[in-house]
Amino acid sequence: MNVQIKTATLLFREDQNSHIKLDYAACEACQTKPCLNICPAQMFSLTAQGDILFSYEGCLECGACSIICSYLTWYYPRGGYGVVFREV
Amino acid sequence: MSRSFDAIVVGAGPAGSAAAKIIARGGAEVALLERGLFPGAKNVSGAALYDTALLEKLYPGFYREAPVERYLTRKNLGFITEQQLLSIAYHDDNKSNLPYKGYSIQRGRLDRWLAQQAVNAGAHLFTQTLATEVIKQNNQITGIVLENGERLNAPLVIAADGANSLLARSAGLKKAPHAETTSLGVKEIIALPQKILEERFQLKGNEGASYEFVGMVSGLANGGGFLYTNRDSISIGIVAQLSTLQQHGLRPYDLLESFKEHPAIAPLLREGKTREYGAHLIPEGGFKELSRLTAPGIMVAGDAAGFVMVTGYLLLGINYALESGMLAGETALEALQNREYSHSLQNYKNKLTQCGLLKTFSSMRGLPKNLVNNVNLQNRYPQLICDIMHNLYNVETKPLPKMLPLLWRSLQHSDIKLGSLLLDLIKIGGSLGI
Repeated sequence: MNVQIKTATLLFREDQNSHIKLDYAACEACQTKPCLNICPAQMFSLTAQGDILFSYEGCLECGACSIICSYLTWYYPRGGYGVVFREV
Repeated sequence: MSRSFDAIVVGAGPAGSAAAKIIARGGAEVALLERGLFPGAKNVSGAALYDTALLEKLYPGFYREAPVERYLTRKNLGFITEQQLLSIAYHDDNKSNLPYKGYSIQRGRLDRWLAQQAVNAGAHLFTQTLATEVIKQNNQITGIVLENGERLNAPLVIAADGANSLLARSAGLKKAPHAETTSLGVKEIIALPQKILEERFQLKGNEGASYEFVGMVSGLANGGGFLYTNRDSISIGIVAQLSTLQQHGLRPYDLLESFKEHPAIAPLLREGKTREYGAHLIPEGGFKELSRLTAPGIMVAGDAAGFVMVTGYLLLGINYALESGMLAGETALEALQNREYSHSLQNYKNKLTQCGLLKTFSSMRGLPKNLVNNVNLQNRYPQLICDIMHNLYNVETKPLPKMLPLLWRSLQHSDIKLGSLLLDLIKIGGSLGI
């Protein structure tokens, strides 16, 4: 089962603005790009040109990317927005 | 615009809801803020919940009324390799010995119930409400600012806002989490008809089973796996240290998939349907990485403080969240009675010491280094243990080997040096208090 099928089980209340901001110049200079692997929702991917492609809409708000990358700015989405874990 | 309370609790998880309940029950006006759609909406755990004495003290009748999934009568510790599993199963039929000794739970249900207990006691719950920073006046925290700019004033703030705790960080009590001392947990809740689940795991009525796994579950990364039976579903997941995930370029969901496909695990999940996926950070640094617990006007509780204990056979956090929240609440009430909100908060630390919580963390301070960061323990020892089992049951060897030569040969076939094995025994044994 791929990660897109996993995250499709979740409810998201999407905000208009991203709660994560990338510094794309830093991404370009980054050799290892650990975000590609570490994000449990695979929100980071590469374009055909090798640039970072990022979307925030399926973010699980774990905060892992903010720990392994010192260039991105991470904050919680606005109250009531973002992922909803139902667990019922 | 601004409003005032006696105390503001940020985060309606177990720590925050416990604190708010205690404060409200004491007759004070307490605001309980939750950024999610409802309490629990942002929360992910395994999850097993232990320390029933504490639960009954905080919520008398918990074992009858709380929305738990199953009470745990079967505990399993598994050593796992690509093809093998050695499982140590412990069965304790403690029905006659109420209250039960541990439960499997789901956070969405439990956290809502915990918050409701705070509301029933008189707490004011505000969901969909994000606190962005503390208000500081003359080195004293006097409230918080909401994302819309609204200020909530209170002489006491309790930061119970979880592993990332941006509030404790904004108050200068906590450093940003580190990749070596933080693990990422990913899990799935897999629905399974109740009858099939009970037959498969040999459970009667509300009995439940828990499994903790050490070994290949987290690949080359340091970590482990877990499986808990819920009422009509299974919670299964892996936990892996961020730094070694990064070092080996591993993807957490791929690890979870390999774990689910393991020959000894897959049959347990057969016919199951994934109901929900989740991920969360786990602060595993132990004693050395605890946040500062108090500053004038503020206390930190639960995951935000770093109260998570990982021993390999136990993953504990919710109980410490409840306990630290309760003690922060008690301290807040005393401070409100005395109208002193700086030095009196030291009592929070005193209470954490008296109840034994801080002692647990200080005496197990070696675990993160010796257990979580021990590469041998993470993969080589589970392999060695399983290979010993393989040799033990290999009757084709003639004459049938005696135990000591068998152990010696298994060790020689592994890439573990006797010296490092002995050293690990001392280090790990020492950390666990053997």
